[in-house]
Amino acid sequence: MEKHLTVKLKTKKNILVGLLLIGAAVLLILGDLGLQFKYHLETWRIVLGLLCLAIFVERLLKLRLPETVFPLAFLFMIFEPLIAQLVGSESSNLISNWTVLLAALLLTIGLEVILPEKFCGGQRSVGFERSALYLEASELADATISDHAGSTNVYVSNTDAYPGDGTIRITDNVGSIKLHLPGTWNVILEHSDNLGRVSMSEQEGEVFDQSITVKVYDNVGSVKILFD
Amino acid sequence: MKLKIEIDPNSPKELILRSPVIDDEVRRVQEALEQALSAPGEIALKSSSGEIFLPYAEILFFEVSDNKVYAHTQANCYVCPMRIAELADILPRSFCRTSKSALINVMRIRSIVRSPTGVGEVSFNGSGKKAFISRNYYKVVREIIEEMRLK
Repeated sequence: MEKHLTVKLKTKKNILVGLLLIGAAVLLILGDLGLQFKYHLETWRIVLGLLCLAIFVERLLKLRLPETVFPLAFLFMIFEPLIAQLVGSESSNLISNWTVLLAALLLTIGLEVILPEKFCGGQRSVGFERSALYLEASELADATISDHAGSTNVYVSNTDAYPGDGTIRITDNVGSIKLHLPGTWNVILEHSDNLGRVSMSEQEGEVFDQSITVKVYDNVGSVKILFD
Repeated sequence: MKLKIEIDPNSPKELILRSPVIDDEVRRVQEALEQALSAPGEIALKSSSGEIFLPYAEILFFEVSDNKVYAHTQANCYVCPMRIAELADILPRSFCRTSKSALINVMRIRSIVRSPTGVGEVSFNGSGKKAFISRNYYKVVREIIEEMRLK
């Protein structure tokens, strides 16, 4: 038997996206009202710029540093004429676009190689496939999983080594996640779903030796917590 | 083939296969006996505090993920220091390859549900864990189940 929980959670991502959309709307209206900026900016630059900025901030917040390089490169390319004006350059083309893209690619690869895993998308991520993910119990203080259109079984290894009071954050976009947890752990489930389904199977015992918080953001997907 | 066990307190422990010819059935029994006799019966797995030794019978399945082999018991899983191909060589016949990245203990299978694509979803006795049998391995797995559990 499954029980459905209805605790809602507003994620930081939702707030960020909301603020960016509101900012874009305000800028578009101000532009159409004919308000003169010191530097003229076309609408498409504002929209694309805000999009790149949103991606940049999102990746930065997730500490996925190599993935912040390309949004920055695109931001530079979009606002290159403005930057040229600001630095007093006569030409609006400071650096060739191909040079910027090649440099961004090399930087991304370089950062991937140099930085430790936690700065390179150390969170576990899968997409478009059936797979299994393993989380080490001793590293469950703050674990993140994201699934995009995949079918994933998530297991915790070495459960005896779990220190307790950990948090697992799950982002599921059009995917199916089954999170397997020991039946002796008390699960505090917080979830926010957008046409998704989050459920937890019933625990047989009533005495729990450990506690864990599972935070789920489910977007048209299915997340199930199962007890082994 | 008949199985006969003779109890003789004065005799050493020995296994004799008596047959008029050496056919496939005899070879199969010989292979299974040799494997059962040579197998240590337990496997060493990595735990957080060092090593843990578990009987084969406790393992539901082995699975590869991120270049690591994980051994699943009913309620836990551990990293196994061996490769899946090495495990396939040393484990008893009850562990059979179900894909390039998995070995399943057929003695612990409760049910297999086949999808329209031919992939079999395996569930186990006493656990909510699932494993998969790829289309290419399904026939062999089914034959081993037939041989070890249904005859």
